[in-house]
Amino acid sequence: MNIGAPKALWKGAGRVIRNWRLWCLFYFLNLLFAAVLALPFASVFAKDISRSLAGSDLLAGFNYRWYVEFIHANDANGAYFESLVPQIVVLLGVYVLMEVFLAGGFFSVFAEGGRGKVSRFFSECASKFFPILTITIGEIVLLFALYKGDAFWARANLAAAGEALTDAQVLHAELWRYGAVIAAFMIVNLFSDFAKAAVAIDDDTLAHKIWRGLAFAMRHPFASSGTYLGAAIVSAAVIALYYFVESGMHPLTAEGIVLQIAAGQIFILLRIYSKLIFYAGEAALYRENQIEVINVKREMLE
Amino acid sequence: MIFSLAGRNLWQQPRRLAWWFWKSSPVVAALLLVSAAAAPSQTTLTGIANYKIDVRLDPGAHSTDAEEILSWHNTSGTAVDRLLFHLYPNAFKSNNTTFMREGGREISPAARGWIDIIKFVDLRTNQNLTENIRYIQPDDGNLHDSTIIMVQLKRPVRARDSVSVSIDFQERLPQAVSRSGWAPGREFYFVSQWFPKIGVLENGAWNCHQFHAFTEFFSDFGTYDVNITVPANYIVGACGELTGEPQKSNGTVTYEYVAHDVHDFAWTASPDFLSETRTFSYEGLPETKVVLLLQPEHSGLADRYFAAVDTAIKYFGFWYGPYPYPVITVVDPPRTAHVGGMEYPTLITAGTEDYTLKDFLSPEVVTIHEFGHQYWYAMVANNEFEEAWLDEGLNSYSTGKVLEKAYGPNTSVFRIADVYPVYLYPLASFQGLPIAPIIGKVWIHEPYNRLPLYLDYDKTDPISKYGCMAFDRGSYRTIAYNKPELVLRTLEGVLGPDMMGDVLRTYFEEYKFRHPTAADFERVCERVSGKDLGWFFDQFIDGTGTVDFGVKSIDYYRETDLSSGASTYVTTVVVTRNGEIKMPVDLRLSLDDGSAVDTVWDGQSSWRSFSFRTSVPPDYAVLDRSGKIPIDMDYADNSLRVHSLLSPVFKWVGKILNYFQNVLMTVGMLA
Ligand SMILES: [Zn+2]
Repeated sequence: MNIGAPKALWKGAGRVIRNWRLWCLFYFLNLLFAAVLALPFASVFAKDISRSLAGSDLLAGFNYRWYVEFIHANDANGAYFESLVPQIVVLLGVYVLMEVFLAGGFFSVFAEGGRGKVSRFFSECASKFFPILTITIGEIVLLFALYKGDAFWARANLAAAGEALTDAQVLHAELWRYGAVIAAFMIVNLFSDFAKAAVAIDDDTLAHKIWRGLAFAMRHPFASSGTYLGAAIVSAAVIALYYFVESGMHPLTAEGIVLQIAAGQIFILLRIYSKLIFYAGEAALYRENQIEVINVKREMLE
Repeated sequence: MIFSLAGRNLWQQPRRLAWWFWKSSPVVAALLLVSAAAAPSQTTLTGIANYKIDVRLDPGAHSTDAEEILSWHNTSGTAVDRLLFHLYPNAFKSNNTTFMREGGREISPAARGWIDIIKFVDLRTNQNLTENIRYIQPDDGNLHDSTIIMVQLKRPVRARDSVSVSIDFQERLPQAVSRSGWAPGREFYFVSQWFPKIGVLENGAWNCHQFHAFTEFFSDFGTYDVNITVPANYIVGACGELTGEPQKSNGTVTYEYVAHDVHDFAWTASPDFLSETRTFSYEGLPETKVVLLLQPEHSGLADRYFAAVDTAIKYFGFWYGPYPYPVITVVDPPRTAHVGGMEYPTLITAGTEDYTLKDFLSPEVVTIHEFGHQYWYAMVANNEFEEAWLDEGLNSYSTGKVLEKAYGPNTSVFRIADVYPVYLYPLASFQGLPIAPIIGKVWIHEPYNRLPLYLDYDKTDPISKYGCMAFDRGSYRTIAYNKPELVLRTLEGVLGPDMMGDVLRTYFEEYKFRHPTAADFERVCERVSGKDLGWFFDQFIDGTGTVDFGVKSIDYYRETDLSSGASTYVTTVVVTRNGEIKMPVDLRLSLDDGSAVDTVWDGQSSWRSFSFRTSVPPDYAVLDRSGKIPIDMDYADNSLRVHSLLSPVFKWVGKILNYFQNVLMTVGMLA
């Protein structure tokens, strides 16, 4: 029996909890990469303020004067921040590859439903890495083309019309434009997600599997987009909740600071959870509804 | 056709002139009697260049045609045989003008603008001098630049004598550029720097610069009487006061505006304006009529505009002197006019964006700034080509003080590249470093919004460099606005806020309706404060040195008196001067019990060691704790603790870490 988006999301949410070890693994990898990225900034920051009264000002709140002078001293004069750009780009690239690597394991384990063994998870990651990388590269190329096409279109149309519009009209035009671009991005992302799910879950040639994933999303437009949007809403809600909570936190004491840092880490854990719901929800939907199709075919054969 | 003098006979001119002088400020008549040799502090310079202009707008052709009668008084002790005029609209004539070249700009043929002199007559003799007009380029010799004309007179203007000339001219208005022209997509005209404007004769020589990319203006005071004819459905705003009844004929309407004791005249016309007038008065200040011309899409902002003007009238009036003109017109231009904030005598443009947050004080800041120019520019009229900082800097300083007083110390939220990144999570960035997710909403204490640009251009040009000759736009803004505001705040630190107020009040009182220079301002500062400030002006105005004081080290040891057992802590603080500028700076040693020992370092040597003997152990040493030197480039090194304070480090490192975790999650959406 086919399941709908709510059921898929529900199943997915449970499956992520059941595989909490993978969830933690993801979190630690994220933390590790972030720590490496933050280190050069944190070190000049600590050096600048640990013995300065600027530290007290920054404890009370953000200090614009300090910030401008700090950026100037490290950017304009020493070009220190600029020198970090290559290593940041490389790290971000490696991180994306790592997530591509993990995706195969997540789809496989979440499709199976139970608690996946870590060894099985990694073997699935390894065997699905190149197929999923292929899809990801295709996706990035498509997104880039969309982005460029939009910029080209905007230059040609909005720039010409813009002079005659009021601020409000420009804003509305831009909102529609960004809305359309985001929708297009999401559609590309959704199709590539199901292609990845198919690649991770099914056994067939790569081209067939990709086609099957895309066809699945087209055959179940409501269920697949519902699952995707549902997970997206969970992510957005997590982010909104965090910024709401965070904007009210102005700790001055050690306990308060620990609490604020903890809140930040809980937020990351929730962001990861909501990301895994994408994988798990989509995998559940694909697996359950795919089985239905196969069963129907078998019944027809009998 | 172009020579037609519709309804105007030259024999009528003397009569019209007499009538017009009668209507002009009484100061004019008085001044004509005052010798130039009179005590300079007593003499205002009103009534030197008086204009009577009839102008008609043809919206279909984006053009105007006009007749101007100028009566100019030679206040110098020598005869003048040639007159120099600015023809600013010719800056928009081609891509090769000095304005376009310096600004690295291009202007499409359809957007161009220019001014043609049709006829030039010396009314003393009725001689047509049109053939005697020559374009000159005294600043750069650029033959493609036609923003100045020189007219050779057949009969010189004797010392302390007057001349009247009539000039017929036509102007093609440019597509909105540099606060002038028509707005695409809208029926909106802003007509500024539009008529042949005579240069300023200083010590017998003409001061008349070409229109440069980075400059404002300079001209003499006088009375303007301008008849503006527009289509009947147009609403007009202009410098000065609307006089008499509008005259309607053939689908057009003519408004007459008269402005006394001003040195420029601008006007605007549009059928779309929402017009509202309110009157503000305070005890001890004269009543001021405020005319607001608002774009329909900004109709909700009327109260904020009026409140801002009201605030400005009050503080500028009580601090420096009453606003003497009966009216101020505030024009809110449409987005496509690219006008922004600009000042003209008794008329200012302000402007705002739709959807700005109240916190940003978008119409308020610009409205108060442009109103402030009525003091620093319209009345105290320095040469903006040469010493732009004298009005822009003083005005930035005074505007900042008004904003602080009226809206509290935090008057700006973070704004970069025309967006408010604080509200655009998580796209915000500052110089390539995304920050909004780390810091949230940011308030900026007034002078510090001037820091980023100053830090980028600290060594490029000194403030004393002619603004119009600055390296580029950023350097011009730095030496006209940013550095001067920081420098004047630093001067306030040296003199004290009350003394600074006295200085500015005296400077305004002595130099209103005159053309002061930076040297005059320096003299007022020294006289009022009774201090020698040569060191300050030499370093901050004429030089490009920077201020950066720092505490290099703090060490202490304990001495115990063997007989009494009492402890004495001997602390050594080494301070350094890392910038070129030498000036006194406060040094404080703060102790563990919260008490402090204060002293002053003269800041002359490159470093100095201070020794303190106290009964309590030291906590930290700090230079300029009260922020009297906001131009110091690195305030983090102004203080040094004996022991590190790690809680802010953890707090912000936690945020930085969290920020990168989020960046990774966002980038990971690709996978
Ligand atoms: Zn200004």
